[in-house]
Amino acid sequence: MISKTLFVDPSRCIGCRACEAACRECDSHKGESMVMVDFVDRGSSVATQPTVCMHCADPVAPCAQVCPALAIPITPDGVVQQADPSRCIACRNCVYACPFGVPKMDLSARLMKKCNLCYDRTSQGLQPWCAQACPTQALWYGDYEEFVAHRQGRAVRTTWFGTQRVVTRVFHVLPEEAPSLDVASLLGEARREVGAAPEEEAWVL
Amino acid sequence: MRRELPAAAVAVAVAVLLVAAIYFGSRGLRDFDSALVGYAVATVFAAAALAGRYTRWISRPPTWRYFRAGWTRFLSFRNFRRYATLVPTALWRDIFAQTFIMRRGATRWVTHALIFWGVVVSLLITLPLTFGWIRFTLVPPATYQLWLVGLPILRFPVEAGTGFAVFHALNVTAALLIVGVAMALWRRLLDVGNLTTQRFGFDLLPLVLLFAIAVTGMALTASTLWWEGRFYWFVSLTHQVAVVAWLLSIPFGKFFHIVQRPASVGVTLYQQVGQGIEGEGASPQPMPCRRCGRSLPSAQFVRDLKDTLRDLHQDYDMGGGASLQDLCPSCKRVVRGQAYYGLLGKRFV
Repeated sequence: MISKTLFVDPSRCIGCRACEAACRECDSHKGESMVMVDFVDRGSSVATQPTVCMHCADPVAPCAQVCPALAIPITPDGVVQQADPSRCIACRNCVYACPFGVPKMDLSARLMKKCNLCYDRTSQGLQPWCAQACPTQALWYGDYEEFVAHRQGRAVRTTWFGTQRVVTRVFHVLPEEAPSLDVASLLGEARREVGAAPEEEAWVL
Repeated sequence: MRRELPAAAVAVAVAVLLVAAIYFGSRGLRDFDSALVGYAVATVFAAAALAGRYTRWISRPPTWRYFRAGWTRFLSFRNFRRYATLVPTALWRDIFAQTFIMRRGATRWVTHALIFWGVVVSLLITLPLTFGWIRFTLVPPATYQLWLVGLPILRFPVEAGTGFAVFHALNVTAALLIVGVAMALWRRLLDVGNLTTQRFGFDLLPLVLLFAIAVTGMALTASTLWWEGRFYWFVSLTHQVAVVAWLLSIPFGKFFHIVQRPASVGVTLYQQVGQGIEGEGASPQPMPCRRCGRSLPSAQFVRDLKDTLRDLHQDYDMGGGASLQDLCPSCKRVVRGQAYYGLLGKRFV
């Protein structure tokens, strides 16, 4: 049983993509990274954000719930695995249902792939490759008590998408005053701050 | 509107139909080989369980949507010319040649092809035999007559190539299985990526059972030809136990994918063909990502996905008439990052 998990702190991300390079070494998806480093606002900022699978706990793995082929297994310790190759029918439900934009689809191989928390390593007590390689601990692996003892910031597992709450196994690191990451309302606030004109898609910067 | 299909009733109906087919196909059990009754009974139970599991499976919200949409498109006369080549291509790619596995690795494709054809051809031979639908009789002095549900189909000399091919067909399929299963087990024992994620009951046990079936099946021939009938009873009992265990595991284990895989043909139809209703084009209506304009699978796909999520009591309505599912995966990540930096400002945590 794994009690440790990943803590994602985008404010520490320097966009070096060491996590992506390390992820390619994983034996379960050889040569392809399941970690994505994205520029958040490429035109005006160098800010980047690493994305790994958040291993949703409540609701449990929306990707697995919308899978018509029951292809996405979840381990007893809550790690959401990539699709079972014998079952995946490449419908892409998981890719577009995932609230965090994580799963990747290889249509020609009819196979969904995603971060499985380096289960081959973490189940043996090792860190995931991405956390092992991250030079700034933007991706950090440990247990909650360890995080509280050694790190600043508030580790939260709750992300709001409008009225939908998603509790994840992987933590986001937020400022102390923030109890959760409320994506829709934060985007609304940010848009008002920059004085953007009202538009239909108010929550998109 | 999704319907809860009565899985138990479907299972019983399939069992009754199969028993009736066995009864009438074997001409009132006159052609039924009582030595094979264990296989026949296990097949009836496996078919019933498979039907029940299948019914429960397609009743799930996401599966039911694809099941209904795939058949709606397939049964639409307006759509016929659109899928006239699409369905055969998909059947070739997903079912018969399984070329999609080639993209996962050439060795894996060879492994799977050996196991697939070994299993399928074996079933096509043994199921009619165990049901009493086909039988052989000797026409003196040295000719065999093949009967199918009481009708004479083929007559061939015992010593000819036809006879050899017919009587050794199961040895050939067993050889295919032994090579294929050995390759699969080799990969599962050595591939580091598999070692911790594979499950014994799901991934390994079916291979072990197939291996046991193939080896004991060939041993039956060996006992007859070379061992003067020694060990025959023990080998045939072991073979039967392995086959029955495998048959009963199909609905609940890895081999359920045999009946799941054709769904990928339905999904291909869903993805590439319109609904075939008035006002719908030949292809599904495109839908761009609300933020970057990149193509999403289709407008229908996004609508169905939102409905499926609502069925599962999840709603990602972000306000302003927009939903999280209107975004491509990349934009979902970016807007989350923008929200994060909106919260954080220009500082480190």
